[in-house]
Amino acid sequence: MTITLLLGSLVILLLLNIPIAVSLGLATFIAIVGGGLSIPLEVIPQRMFTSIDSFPFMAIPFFMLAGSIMQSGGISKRLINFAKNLVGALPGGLGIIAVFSSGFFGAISGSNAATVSAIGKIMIPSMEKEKYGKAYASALVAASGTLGVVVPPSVPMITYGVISGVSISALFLAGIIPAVLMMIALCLIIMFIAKRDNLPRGRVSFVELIKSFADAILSLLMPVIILGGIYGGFFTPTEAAAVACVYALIITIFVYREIKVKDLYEIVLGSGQTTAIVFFVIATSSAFSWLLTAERIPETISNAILSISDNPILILLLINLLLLVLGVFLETNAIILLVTPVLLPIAAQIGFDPLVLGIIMIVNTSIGMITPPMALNIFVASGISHASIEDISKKVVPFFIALVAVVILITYVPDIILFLPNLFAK
Amino acid sequence: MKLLLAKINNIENYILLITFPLMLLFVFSATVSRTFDLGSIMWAEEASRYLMIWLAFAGIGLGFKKNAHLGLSFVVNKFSQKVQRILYFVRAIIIALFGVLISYYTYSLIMTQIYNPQLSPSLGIPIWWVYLAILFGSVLIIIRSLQMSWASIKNEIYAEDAEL
Repeated sequence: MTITLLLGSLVILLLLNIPIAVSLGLATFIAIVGGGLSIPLEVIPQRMFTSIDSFPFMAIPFFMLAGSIMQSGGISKRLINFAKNLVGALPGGLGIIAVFSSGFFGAISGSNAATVSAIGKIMIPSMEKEKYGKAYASALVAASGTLGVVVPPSVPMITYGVISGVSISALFLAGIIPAVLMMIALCLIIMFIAKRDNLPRGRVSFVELIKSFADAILSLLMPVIILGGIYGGFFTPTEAAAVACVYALIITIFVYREIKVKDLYEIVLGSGQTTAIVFFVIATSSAFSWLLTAERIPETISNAILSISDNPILILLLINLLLLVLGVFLETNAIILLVTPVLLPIAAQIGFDPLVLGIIMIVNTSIGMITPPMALNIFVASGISHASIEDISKKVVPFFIALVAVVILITYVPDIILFLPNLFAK
Repeated sequence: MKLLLAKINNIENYILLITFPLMLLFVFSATVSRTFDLGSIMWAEEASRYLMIWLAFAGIGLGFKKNAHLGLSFVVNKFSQKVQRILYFVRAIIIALFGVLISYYTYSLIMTQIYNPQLSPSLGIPIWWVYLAILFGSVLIIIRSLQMSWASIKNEIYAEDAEL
């Protein structure tokens, strides 16, 4: 009864285009009242409060602020310039530049939308100039944007770490190799299409490469400081994020000299607002998830899944399917909050590392951002290029297939994910 | 009325502009002082957490103003312009209702806290000062969504005029 009310009202509210955070909160109210549960409704604001009253979560606003400072400080053009000199001579050069610069930018920002917008604003117009179709260029940048949350630092990794108790720094390290595999998969598709459509290559010189590297090195050092600081035992992820903000301020104000103190006003407001949007989803998802747990629903679902089969291969396939489908309709942080309590016991049952589960969840939900209707990356790319969502969605299909292949690979060969965390743990 | 709304709009901005830099200042100085063995700033963690809660809830209303909260528009978009406008109105009312529910139950929590004060462990401030952020945020949700529905009514009148 409760679960029908909870999920039923959630679906109806979502279809009415009620914001996800509000839908989750209202569905919780409806289920408690309609299900006649003896739970005081004060519990909802209380859960919203306690869920974000968390020091580890503070890494989210700080990483967002750091990313936003770097972006306003002209970092995207430096990263793109470096990528251009590094990989521009390959077939489909411009596309590969977009993939690499998205990967670099993902190492500074923790979100997909920020990555698509930072890279797309520069790369989509320059691809259009080189006879890449508008829709293809947008699809390419949208697909490259999926690297944003897989390359550390990453907002959903922080969320998963807080919810599951898995170390956030281990998640950061574990994301690196899957991100590299995703980059390779995307580049293979780009090269194939470039050969087929005879798209132009760029020219590079070694001198330019060194020059652009020198120009980008201070930005590329930021993730090194973050990860090094965490792994050297100097900082917690939240402290590292605060240090990253100060580092970003210093290099953009004093070294690059591209932002003035008064630009900081807009930067703080912008990243403050993005933080509020993410935390609103986290807060109401936590209330929703609390009710699920109070009604022992995750347990019921995981038992149901385990009763279908105890074959790990099949269960992992089911998990991937579930995550992909949810990623099509829901927001990443909401999915992590709702699904983690269901999947953790299943993972434990089939002897699957929670760290691996987290990375698989993050890669899957990131791919969800290029699958309509809830395809945030495509929305952002379409906002830049003015190509229609439908056209971009058609062109994104080969990239989608390539990325799903990566998910399957890391699901069934989890040592790929565990390699770096194990290496550094010793 | 417009002036009042403009003021509220600025209040949100001021809160973001005060809380965010202070959070960074507290966490960064606590980190530096701990890393270089200058002693630890005990209250910094708690203070920055409470600032973050104010930041998060104060920013929610701004998100509604700019329609920045994520939702699924693909079903609604299938309907005719007229139906879409009605659905937009319904949407605003539902969001306002959510704001009312959260405001009411947060108010009730705060009242309990005022009569039975609970102090924060390290700063010793009443916890309801932090709960006030949720009340503030949810009242702003009501204001913003009513603004949205008001705009949709005005548009309707405008559209009918245009048809004549």
